Amino acid sequence: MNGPVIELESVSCLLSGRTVLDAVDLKVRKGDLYAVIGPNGGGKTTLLKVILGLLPASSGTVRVFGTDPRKARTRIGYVPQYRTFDFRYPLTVEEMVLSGRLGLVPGLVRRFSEKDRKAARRALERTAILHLSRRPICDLSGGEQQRAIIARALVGEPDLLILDEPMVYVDMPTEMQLFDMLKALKDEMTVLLVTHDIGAISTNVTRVACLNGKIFTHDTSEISEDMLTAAYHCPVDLIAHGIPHRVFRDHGGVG
Amino acid sequence: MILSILGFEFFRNAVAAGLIASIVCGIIGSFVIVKRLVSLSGGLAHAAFGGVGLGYFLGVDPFLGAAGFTLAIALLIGTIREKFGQYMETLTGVVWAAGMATGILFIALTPGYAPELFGFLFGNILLIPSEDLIIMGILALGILLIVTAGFNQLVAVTFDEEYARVMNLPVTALLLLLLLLIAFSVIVLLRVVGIILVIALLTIPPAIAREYSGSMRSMMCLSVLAAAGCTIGGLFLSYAMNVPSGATIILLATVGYGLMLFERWMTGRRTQGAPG
Repeated sequence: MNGPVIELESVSCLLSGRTVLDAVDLKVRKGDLYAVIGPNGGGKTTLLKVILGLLPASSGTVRVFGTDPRKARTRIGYVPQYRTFDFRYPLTVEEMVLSGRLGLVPGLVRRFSEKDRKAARRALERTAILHLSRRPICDLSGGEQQRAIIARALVGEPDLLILDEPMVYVDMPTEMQLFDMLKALKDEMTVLLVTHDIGAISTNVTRVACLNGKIFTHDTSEISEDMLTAAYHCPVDLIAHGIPHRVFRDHGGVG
Repeated sequence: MILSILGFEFFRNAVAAGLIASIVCGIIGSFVIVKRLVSLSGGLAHAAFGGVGLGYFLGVDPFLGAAGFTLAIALLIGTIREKFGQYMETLTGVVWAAGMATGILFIALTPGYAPELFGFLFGNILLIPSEDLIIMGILALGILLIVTAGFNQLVAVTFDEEYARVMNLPVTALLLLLLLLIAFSVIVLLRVVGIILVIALLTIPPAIAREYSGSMRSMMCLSVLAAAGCTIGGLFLSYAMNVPSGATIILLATVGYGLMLFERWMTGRRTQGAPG
């Protein structure tokens, strides 16, 4: 199949009477490392929930792998926004990561096989927390917790990885390591990531969009001035301050 | 010697009932604690009183009335939450009070005296007939089998409901199953500590166990042990001191909880990520 991995056509989403997504078009192709940036409350998490089939679109069409998101989502690894669940749950790191394969385990009882355990070990290895596998998740540091969440998303060997603000609450060195990890994953799967922090966008992204209810993109890796002004409603040099020049093409005096 | 009391059938039954109750509250109570369903469990237990009243009114065994009524309420709560998007907490408040009111109304409408009423409210582990013990045992075995079979899925859905949905697990059915399991546990525990005290047995032993557990399996095992200590210890204590058994069991558990907090304070090990 050569169609886009994710395809949204004029998708709108109303949440308690408020338009959170306004006629959003989005095309994520195979092999993309696609970043959606935008201010808080700009609809980034809503966008992901629509793609995951957790929220219905009020209008427009959503296709993932050319089909209904609810059918396609077993091929998706999802990294929800940090701490949407309770890390005090009595669970070891290995058990938590293993739980991410449950949807792929057949049968009514869904017992894990040796293959599942191998996949869990591999995911723990890739996120560099294999040595923590027997540790209760409540004993992990913030960065280790984030790795465990990513390992859980990878354990099902997904074709699409979706990350919601993966760099929040993570210190700088960990952030760099996480980006290296994403770069390595890019060859195996399509990656879609949302963040409010433009500084978090590295040069490795293949496409960028700005989201603030409406979506703005040139379908390239370039963040242009008009995209940012449209999404953030403030002068670009304010936002662009401290951002590596590689991200921004020369805007003529800006940056 | 106090152990000579084991020569009596009623006391052997009481010990067996205490052990069965411990297994149930250790296993289901662990889910109640991690999924924060404590008040819901209290609501279900009190709703059982409606079934007790209904049983008296219709002339059937109030224990059976309570069982049927509690299961029906659990199904109702699950359905209303799903269809009407109501908060679990709100529904808890409604069934808690409405269940008690139903019971009071039916008992008032029943001519004559309602025997054993006090036993239903506060439990009497020393008065459990062998037939009821068998019913309790079968229910506990059923709970054990269902949890064993559904363990991975129940853990997944109580840990992270949203992710369970993304994995296309039958989340709605699993949550309904959990409600039914809690209802069955309430029925088992009813005879031991009574409607008013069920919530303590479902809460305190697992809450103690959680502090010393890194996985759900170990939490369940420790909960069962803690609960067995409380029920059996409370049973002997209440016999020796000639005081009500249900209350003794609960107070013993509360002392255990206090000791756990004291130990945590002494060793400076508070649960990580706890508020404050």
